[in-house]
Amino acid sequence: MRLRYHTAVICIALAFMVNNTLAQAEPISFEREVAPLLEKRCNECHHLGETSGGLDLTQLSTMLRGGDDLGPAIVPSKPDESPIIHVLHKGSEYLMPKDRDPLSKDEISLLKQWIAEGAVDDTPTFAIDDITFFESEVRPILLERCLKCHAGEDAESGLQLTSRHGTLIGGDRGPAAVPGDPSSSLLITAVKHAGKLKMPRGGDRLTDEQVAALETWIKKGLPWPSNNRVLAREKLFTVSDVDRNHWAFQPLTTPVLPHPAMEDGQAAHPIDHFIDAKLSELGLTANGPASRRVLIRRATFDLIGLPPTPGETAAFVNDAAPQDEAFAKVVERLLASEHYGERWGRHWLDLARYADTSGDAADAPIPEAHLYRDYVINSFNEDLPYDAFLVEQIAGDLLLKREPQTRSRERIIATGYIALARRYSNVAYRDMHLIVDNTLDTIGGGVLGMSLGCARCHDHKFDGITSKEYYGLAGYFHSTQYPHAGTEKQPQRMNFVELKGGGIAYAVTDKKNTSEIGDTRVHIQGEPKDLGELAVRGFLPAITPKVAKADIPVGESGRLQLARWIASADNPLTARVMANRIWQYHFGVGIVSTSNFFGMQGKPPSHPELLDWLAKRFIDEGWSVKQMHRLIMSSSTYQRSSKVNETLLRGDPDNHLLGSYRHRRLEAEPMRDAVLAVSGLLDRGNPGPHDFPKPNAKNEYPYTQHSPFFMDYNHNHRTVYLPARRLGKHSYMANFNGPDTNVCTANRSVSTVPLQSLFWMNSDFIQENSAAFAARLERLEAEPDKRIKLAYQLALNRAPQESEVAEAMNYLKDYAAKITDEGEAVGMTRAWTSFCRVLYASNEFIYVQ
Amino acid sequence: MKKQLLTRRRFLNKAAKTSCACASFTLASQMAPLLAAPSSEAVLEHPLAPKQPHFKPKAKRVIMVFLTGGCSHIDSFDPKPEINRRAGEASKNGKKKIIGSLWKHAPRGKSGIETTDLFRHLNSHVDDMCFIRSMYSDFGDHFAAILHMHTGSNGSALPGIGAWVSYGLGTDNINLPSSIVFAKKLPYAGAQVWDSNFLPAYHQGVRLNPGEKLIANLEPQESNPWPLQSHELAMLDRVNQKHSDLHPHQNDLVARNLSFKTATSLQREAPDLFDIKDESDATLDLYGIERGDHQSFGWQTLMARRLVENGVRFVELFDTGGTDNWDLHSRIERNTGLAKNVDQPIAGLLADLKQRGMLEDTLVIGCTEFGRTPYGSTGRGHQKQVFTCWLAGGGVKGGHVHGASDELGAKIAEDPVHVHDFHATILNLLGLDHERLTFRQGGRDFRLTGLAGNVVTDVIA
Repeated sequence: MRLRYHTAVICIALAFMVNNTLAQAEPISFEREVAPLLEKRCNECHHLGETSGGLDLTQLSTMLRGGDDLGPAIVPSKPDESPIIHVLHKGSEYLMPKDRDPLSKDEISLLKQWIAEGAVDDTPTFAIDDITFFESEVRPILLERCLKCHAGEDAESGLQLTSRHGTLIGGDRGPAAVPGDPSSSLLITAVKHAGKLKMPRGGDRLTDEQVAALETWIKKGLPWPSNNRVLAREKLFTVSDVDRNHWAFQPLTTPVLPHPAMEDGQAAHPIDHFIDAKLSELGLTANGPASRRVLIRRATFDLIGLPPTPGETAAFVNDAAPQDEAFAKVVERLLASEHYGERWGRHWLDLARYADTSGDAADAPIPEAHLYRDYVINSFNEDLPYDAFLVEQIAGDLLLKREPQTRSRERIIATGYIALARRYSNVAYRDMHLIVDNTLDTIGGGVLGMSLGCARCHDHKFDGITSKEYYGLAGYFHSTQYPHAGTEKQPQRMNFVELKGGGIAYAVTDKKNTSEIGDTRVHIQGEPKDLGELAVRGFLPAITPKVAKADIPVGESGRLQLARWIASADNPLTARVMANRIWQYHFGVGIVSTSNFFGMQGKPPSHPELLDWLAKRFIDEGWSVKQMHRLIMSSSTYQRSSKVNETLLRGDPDNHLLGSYRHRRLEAEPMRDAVLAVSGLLDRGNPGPHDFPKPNAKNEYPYTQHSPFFMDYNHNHRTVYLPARRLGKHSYMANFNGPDTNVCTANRSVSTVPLQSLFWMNSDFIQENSAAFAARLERLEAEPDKRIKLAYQLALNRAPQESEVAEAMNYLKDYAAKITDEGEAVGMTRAWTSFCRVLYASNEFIYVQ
Repeated sequence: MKKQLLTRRRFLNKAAKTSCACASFTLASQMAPLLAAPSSEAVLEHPLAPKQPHFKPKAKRVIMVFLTGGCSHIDSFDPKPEINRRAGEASKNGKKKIIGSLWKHAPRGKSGIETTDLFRHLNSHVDDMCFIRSMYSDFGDHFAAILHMHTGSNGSALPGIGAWVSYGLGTDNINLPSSIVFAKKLPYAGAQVWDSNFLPAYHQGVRLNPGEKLIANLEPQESNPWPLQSHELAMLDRVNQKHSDLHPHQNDLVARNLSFKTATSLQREAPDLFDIKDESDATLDLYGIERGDHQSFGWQTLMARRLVENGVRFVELFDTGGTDNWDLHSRIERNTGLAKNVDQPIAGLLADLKQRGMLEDTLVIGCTEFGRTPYGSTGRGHQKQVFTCWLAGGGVKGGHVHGASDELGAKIAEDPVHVHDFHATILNLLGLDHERLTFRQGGRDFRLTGLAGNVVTDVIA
C-alpha cells in the first residue's frame, strides 16, 4: 500500500511537471532533482567507493552521517547551518567542488530549498522481490537494447534510461513511463510499435516476453535498487582460483637445473640443461653444431640484421680459438656494432606500434616521431636496462621532474611510446577512450603479455581483470595530455613538448589543468557516454595481489607509479614476457608462442622452468638485454644445425623442443638491407628526419579525410628508417608482411604470394641493386670464375662448389649470347646483372639456416 | 569461333595443373601437422584453394560497386515526392530547409519500382535488382562509415569483406589474387578498407590502379625482356632446387620456389586478361566504352566481369576517391555527372552477366557509406539513419524492395537493416554462416558481423 501511495504522489508530481505550472510550489524532489545534481557535481569524489573526506553524498543517510571534519553534511530545515551549503561559497576553507567550476546560483538555491523543506528523500524503496525482478528481467533489456542511444550527456532525444529518475523525467517527448500505468507509458507504446515512435530503432523488436517484463516493471512502479541508482554492470565479477592460479601470474620460481654436468664432466650450459632434458624425455637427440659459416650468418642477421662480410666470415671460420671463445668474439663485435640497435630497436618498434603518422582520417604526418625511433635504437645500443627503458617510456616526464639533470631530452622523447597511440576520426581528442585503449592495448600486450582491451566493455572473462580495474588503468592516461598532430577539423598541431636544447617532441605530459587529473569512471559497455562507478587508479590485483594500491602524489597522473609497478622484479609478467620475446627473436618462436598473450587464452610455455630461469637471470643481470644475447647465443641450443632429420621430425614435428635450429625467412627489413649491403648501395648512416612537408605558418597541415597524407618515401638507408604510415603501409612493407603500425605486433606473419615474386623478378629496386652488385663485382674481380666465387661469398657467405661455378659460367655465356643487338660488352654486363638477380631471388639469400 | 585468348576453362585447367605442382605451397606454420608424416607424399593445400561453404550457396562470386562519399538515396532509388512538395520548408531550428530533388521519378519495369531518372540505364534493370531502402549504419562520418561498411568495425581497422569471403571460400584460380580492388583514387581510410588485417595475407585485396601500372612489377625490366627472362627464371629454379635438395623437409623453400612459377603465369596471362581486344563491339557498347580504353569505370566494370569469369572470388570497384565524390553538401546537381560515370557501366555489367548466364550465381552489390538528408542549406548532409543499397543476381529476388523510409526519407519506416545484417545476408548468399565464419585472434573469435547481424531472408529468392 505504501508503494501505491508513493507512485500516486509521483504521478501527481509528474502531471505538474508536464503542465509546467505550479512547478515552483512543488517540493523539491530528492530523487529527480537533488540526486542528479549531486551525481553531476559531487559524487565523483564523494561516493561509496571513494568517500573523500569520509563523506558519501549518494544517499540521504550517509549525508546525515557526514564526513570526518565537518560532521553531518546537512542539518534538515536549516540550510544556513548545513556544511554542504557553506563549502559551496567562496571563502570557505573547504571550497567545493575542488578545482572545478563552482555550482551555479540556481543549483545552490535548489539544494538550499530542499534542505529548508526538511531534506526529505522521496526515493521510493521497493520490496526485495521487485528489485530482484528488475535485476533479472529489466536491467538486461535496458542494457542491451536501450542504452546505446539513451545514455550519457548526449542521450538521444534527451532521454536517459540509466536511472529511475532519468526514466521518469523523460526526454523531448515527455516522461518515458508513468508509474503503475504501462498503457500510458511512452516506453511501452514505442516498444510495441503501437504509435508513431517505434523502438528500438535498430535490430529486432523486443520479444513479447521482454515487452511483458517492461509492462510489469512499470505496473510495479519502476522498482530500482536505491543503493545502486545508476545502471551499472550486469552482474558482479568474481575471480576464481583457476584465475588466481594461472601459471603466468605466479611469482618467478628458481628452477633447479635438471642435469648438473655433461658426460664428459664439463659443466653444460644451463639453457642446454633445460632443452636437452625435454628432448631426452622423448628419447630424442639434438643436432650437432652448425658450421661456423652457417653460424656467423645466423648470428649476424640475428644481432644486426645484415649479412656478414666475406672478411668477417673468413676471420671466424679460420679462427684457431675453440668454438666458444671464437664465437664469443663474434657476438661481442656484433653487440658493439651501431647496427645492433637498428635491428633490436626495430623489434621494439613493432611492439610500440611505431608510425610516422597519427592514423586519424587524414593520417597526419608527425615529422617529430623519428626522435622516438632514434631513442629506441640508441637505448638498445647503449643497453639501457629494460626496467629503466620502460619507466622512461611510460613516465619519462615525471621522472625528469624528480631528476631534472638526467637525460632531459631522452626522457621526454621516450614518452613518444604513449604519445604515438593511434588517433581516430577527424576531431581532436573526440575518441579519447579509443586513444587510451590503444595505449593500454600496447602496454598490455607488449609489456605485460595481457589483452586488457576486453575489459574495456566488460569484465575480462578469462584473465581476472574487471572493467573497473581497466578504467583504473585508463585513469592514468585520461590524466595525461597527449599531443595533437592535427586533424581535418582541428588542423593546428598542439600540445607537443618542448625539449631542452631546442626542438619539440611528440610526447606526453600530465594534464596542465590539475582538475583534469584524477580517476575516471567506468564506461559501461565501453560507452563513454554511459558512465558508471568511479574507478580508482590502481594496479591489477590478478597480477600482483599484494600490491593493489597506487600511491599517487596529488596532482599527478600516476604514470610513474604505474611504470614502477610494471617495471618491477615483483611483477611476475614483465620479466617473463621480455625474456620470452628475446628468445622468440632468436629462435623464431617464443617459449610461450603467444608472446602477447600470457593469460588464460594464450598457449602455455613449452619449457616453463627455462622461462622462469631466463626471467630471473634477466632481472639478476640488471635487466640487460645484451647479457641475454650472450647467455642465449653461447648455448649449444642456439648453435645447433638446422638440418631436419626424420627422427626429430617424427618425435617433435613442430620443433617445439628445439632439437634443431629453426630455419627462418628474413623479415622485410633485413631482407631489403641485405640487398643493399651486398650491392654496396646501402647508406649506413641514420638519415634523421623524414623528408616530410613542413606545417604552414599556423602550424597546420592541409590534409583532410578527403585528401589524406599519402607518400611512399624511398632511400637507400636501412629499412628501419623508411617512414611508416598508418592508413596503409609503405608499399614494400605491405608486400613483405611488415608490422601493423596501428597495434602492438607480436610477430611478423610470413606469406608466399606471387606479388612478392614479381618484386624479385621485375622491380626497379632489384634491378638497380643487381646492376650495382654486378658493377661492384666487376670492380673487385676481373676473372669471371673468381668473380662468381666472390658473388657467392658476398651474397651467400660461402664459396660455390665447382659445379656451381661451371653452371654460372655457362649461364652468363648463354644469356649474353642471346643479346645480339648491343654488342658483347653490353650483353655481358646484362648477363652479370641477371646472374646477380638470381642470387638475390634465391631462397638461400633470404633464408637463414 | 571467336578467338578467346583466355577462356575460363583454359585458366582453370592451368590452375588445376599448377595446384598439383603446388603440393607444398603453403605457410610454414600450416605445414606442421603434415610434416608429422615426413616419409609419405604429403599433399598440402594451397591457402587459397577452394573451400566448401557452410551450406549450398546461391552465389559463387561477388562484384561490389561502392559509390564513395555517400550517394543520395532520395535522389536515386528511394524517391520522395514529399520533399518536392514541401521544398523550402524550414527545419525545426530554422537553420535548414527541405531541398527538393532535381530528378523526376516514375515506376520502372514490370515490378513498377519507383526510381528517379538519375540512373537512366540502371532503371531498365530494376526487375533484376533488389533494393533495401531501410539500411542504417552506426557512423555518420566517411572514415568510420566506410570502414564499417567494409569491415563491420566500430572505428578501428578489421579485415575487409573481400578478405573474409576469400578466407571463407578460397578462390577458383590460384594464379590470380582471390580479392581484387579497382580504385583509381584511394577512398577514405585508404587501403585499410580491403586489408586482410589479422586474416592471413593471402586474402588481402590487391588494389589495381587503372590507367597506371595495374599490378606492381608485372612487367619485366627492359634489359631483361621475355623470353630472356625465362632463362633467368630457369636458372633461378635450378639454384633453388639444388638448395632445397640440401634442405629436405623445409617445405616453405619449395613453396617459395613455386611462387615464382605462379608469378610468371600471372605476368604472362594478365596482359591478355586485361586486354579487351577479344571482346565484341556489342559487349563494349553495353558498358559504353571504346576500344583502346584501359582505365574508365566502364573498362573497370568489364574487367570485373573478366576477373570473376576467370575464377577471382571477389572484385570491388570504387567509383571515386576521397574527393569529387557523392559527398554533395552543395550543388546537388553534380549527382548527374557522378551517376553518368557509373550508370551505363553497371547496367552493362548486369546485362552482360545475364546474357552469359552468370548473373544467377554472381552477386552484384551496390552500396555506399550512408545516405543524405532531405534538409540542408545548400546541399545534403550525411544521413546514417536510413539509406538505400541494392543487390542483384546471386540468388536475390529481382524487382523487389525491402524496407522503407519515412515520407521524407529521413528515418526508417519499416524493416531496419543494419550494416551487420547486410553483411550477414551477403555471406548467407555465398553459403556462409556469418556466425561460423570466424577467426581466432587475441583470445577471441572475430567475425565480419561483430556480435550482431541477422540474415534478411526477405531479399533471398
